[in-house]
Amino acid sequence: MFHGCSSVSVTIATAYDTLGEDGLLHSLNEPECVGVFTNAELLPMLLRVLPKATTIKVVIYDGEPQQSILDDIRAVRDTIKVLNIDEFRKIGQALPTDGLQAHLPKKDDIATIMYTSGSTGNPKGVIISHSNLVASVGSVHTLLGHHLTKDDTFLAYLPLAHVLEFIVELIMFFVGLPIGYGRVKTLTDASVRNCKGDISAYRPSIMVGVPAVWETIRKGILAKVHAGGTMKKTLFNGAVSAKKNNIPILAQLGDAILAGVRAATGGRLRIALSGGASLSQETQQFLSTALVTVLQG
Amino acid sequence: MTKVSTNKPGFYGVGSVEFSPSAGPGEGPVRRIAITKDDLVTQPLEGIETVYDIVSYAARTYGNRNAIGWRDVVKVVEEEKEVKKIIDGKETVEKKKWKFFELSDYKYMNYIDVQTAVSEISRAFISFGLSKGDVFSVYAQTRYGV
Repeated sequence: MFHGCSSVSVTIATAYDTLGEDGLLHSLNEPECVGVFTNAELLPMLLRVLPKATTIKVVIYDGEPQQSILDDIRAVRDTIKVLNIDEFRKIGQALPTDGLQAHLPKKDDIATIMYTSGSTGNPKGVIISHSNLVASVGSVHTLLGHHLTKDDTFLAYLPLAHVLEFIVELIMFFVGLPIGYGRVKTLTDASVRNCKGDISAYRPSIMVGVPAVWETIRKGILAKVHAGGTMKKTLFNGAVSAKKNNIPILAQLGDAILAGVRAATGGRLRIALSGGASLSQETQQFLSTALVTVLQG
Repeated sequence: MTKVSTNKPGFYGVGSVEFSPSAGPGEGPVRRIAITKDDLVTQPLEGIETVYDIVSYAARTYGNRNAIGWRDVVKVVEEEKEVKKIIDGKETVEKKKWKFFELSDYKYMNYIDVQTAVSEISRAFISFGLSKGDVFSVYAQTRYGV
């Protein structure tokens, strides 16, 4: 969706799915959005602000909403067109490709206006040009590109409205690594039924998280270790300290013990990136020894 | 587990170097990482200037390798749990419903599929009269459709 807009020079405004009514309205009205893409689950929220978001003419959604909500949205204004993403694609499919070239963006065009999560009043829009985005991809690739191999896989679950996640996904595209989409609610085995959680189903080797996520994982590991009794606890602590001080032989033994912990994240996790806010040194050190190398972005 | 070991030892060289001297009292000099001291990186490759260029580059270079994976919701499983709550000093037991998803295995789209989808969406946008200067909002969860 994003790339579709980009290739015809249309600017994308991003809004977090967690925004409240006022925040959403603000992010639609301030840049005078002509249309909006959303998920079926979010349509009721959109319906509430739509009468006041007078510039919107097109609503595109994915998923399967109830017919009544679609009718309600159409009833707001005569000029509003509501389409499923598949219908929208079919319209495009039937059209010739010759017009596309003329609409391609230039490097100084605005690619996106990213609205913040709005934790301090109305969300603020950050204007980002194509050259801004491309330069970020270039610089990260220069600094860290050689760490990536073609067998790496990336699990995406953070909001794309967050610039960190967005840049990382662009980089994955550039270097040709698959992006697997997950949901915050279904990451672990415990949060799904009759199937595996996103992490163990996808077995990513690269993950990006904000500090809160890593803190949760750290607590999860410690809780499991503590529940295992004194013997297990001593073994675990010994393994961690052996690894941390890189004592020969013992460090390898430690690896063997910690393999169990690593299996919980699919067993392939190799690089973790933390960003958005600073991660406490203690947590970074703990996870780097027990689980995976954590880089701060 | 594969270890993260750099295949370019000494890649960062001396670390950071002074780029320009301090501009005045109370300010330190500007420093830059040594490997890009003379030239800031503004693009990953010659010819890539926009996000669109990245999509076409990926389709050209990686073709039918997996680009994007996702899982469909097979069904929503509801479970009831009893939650103890203390209301006005009295302990009451409330029944709460929790929703859990049952998901399919990962399904994949390759780089050419992505480019096709992008092209279709672009043409549809043009047919709706959208062009440069217009703003389109994306208010959605992180998903492959976005």
